[in-house]
Amino acid sequence: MANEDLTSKVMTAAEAVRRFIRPGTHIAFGGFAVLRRPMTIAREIVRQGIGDLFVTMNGGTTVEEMLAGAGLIKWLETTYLGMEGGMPVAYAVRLAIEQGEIELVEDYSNWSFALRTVAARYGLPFMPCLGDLGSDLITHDTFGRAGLRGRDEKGRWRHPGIPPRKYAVIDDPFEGWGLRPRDYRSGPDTCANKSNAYRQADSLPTAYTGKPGVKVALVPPLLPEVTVVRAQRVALDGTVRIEGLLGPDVDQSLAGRILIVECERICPPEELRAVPEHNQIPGHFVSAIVEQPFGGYPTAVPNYYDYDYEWFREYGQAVRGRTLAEVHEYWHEQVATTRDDWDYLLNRVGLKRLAALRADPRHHYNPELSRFK
Amino acid sequence: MSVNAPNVPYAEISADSKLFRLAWFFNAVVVSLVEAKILLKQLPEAKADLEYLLSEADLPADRRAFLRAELARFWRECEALKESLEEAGRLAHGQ
Repeated sequence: MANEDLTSKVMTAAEAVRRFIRPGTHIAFGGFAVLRRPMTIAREIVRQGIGDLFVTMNGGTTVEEMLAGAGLIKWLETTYLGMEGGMPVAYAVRLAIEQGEIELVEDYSNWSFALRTVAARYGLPFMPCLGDLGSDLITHDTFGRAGLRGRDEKGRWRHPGIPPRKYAVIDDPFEGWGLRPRDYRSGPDTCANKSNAYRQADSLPTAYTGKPGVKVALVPPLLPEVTVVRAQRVALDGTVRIEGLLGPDVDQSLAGRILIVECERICPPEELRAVPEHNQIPGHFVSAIVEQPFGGYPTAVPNYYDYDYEWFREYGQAVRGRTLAEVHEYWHEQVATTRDDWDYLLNRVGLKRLAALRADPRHHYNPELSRFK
Repeated sequence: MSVNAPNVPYAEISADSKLFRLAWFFNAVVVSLVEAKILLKQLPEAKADLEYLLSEADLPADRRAFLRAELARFWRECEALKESLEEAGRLAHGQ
């Protein structure tokens, strides 16, 4: 492969956002909580002021708080969304929902959402799930109430990223045969799964289907237009190496039609070929590679740097009690007025502060830092 | 550094088990070292970039300090590895 072919996917964050993200784009952000969030692309979206976004993620934090704080989210499909111990309920997200800037919020559990990405990764029409049964996640259908599900009068899907149903609940066609637990040789299963009880129960529930039996919730695949993830290394040919916990990223990366990978370092393909089983995503899935050291800041990138606890603390102090308009102003000043992520990281944050977050290679994080209690 | 299986006294492990446990320990180290060597092949290019950057008079002091700290950290680990490799050499040559 010629060198120009190898480098054709390498671009700046500004170019990747200009090419692939428009007002209303259905975009899935990778990482989990304070781990490896793709902040470089998210900050560039703020700089370019691309709004009306349909944002989806499993375990949202800084990306979504910032985009909501900048007034750029219209619809949100989420699981937990907060800033961990620094701000358990994401402040700007809450204000934006309360005041109608975020028009719709659809909700799944972390587990059922993860299964949606698994279904998408393998091209399956649905995945079975026992987790959300009995909760109001099954019946609380925001997109359905808004008339966004199903087909229009011409037979087209009303929205390509919104499935015709949030869930389907069926009777287990295998009559509960495969349910955990059995008594394992090492002792009984202590997992507090309600299905345990069903296996030995005299009477089985009739909820959802009217028939007595073990129920299974089916969840549809997650099919975003664009997925953005952050990795430690990406080879010039697009091969992705993520170190540490993967979160939902591999499944989610293979679920979108366009995959943008931002990374700490672009490396020669030979470097990742040495131990190919440590790579997660083959290059042909990748549409854009964006290199930005420290670009996951203020979240953690294992083996490179830890999350910045002080940033979370300071952000809480800066915005709590402010109006939504004032929060917009905060994000405008902090991010939208920077030229690019180098400008943000070196001039808003500072290299000294970034360097203090460097991970200890023996721990993969920085054991000297303050943390959420 | 031998690791016994749970509840199995070391003396009861067969000689073949000991032998292969040892052989596969060496193998695990070799696999890691081969990966490290592939990375280290990039040293000449890194050296050229490093020399160029450090010779730049207008490189800001905080960038210079960051790079030097990274270099020091890299060398610290190399030194530690050197000691381990010397010990490995003595072991391999029966000294």
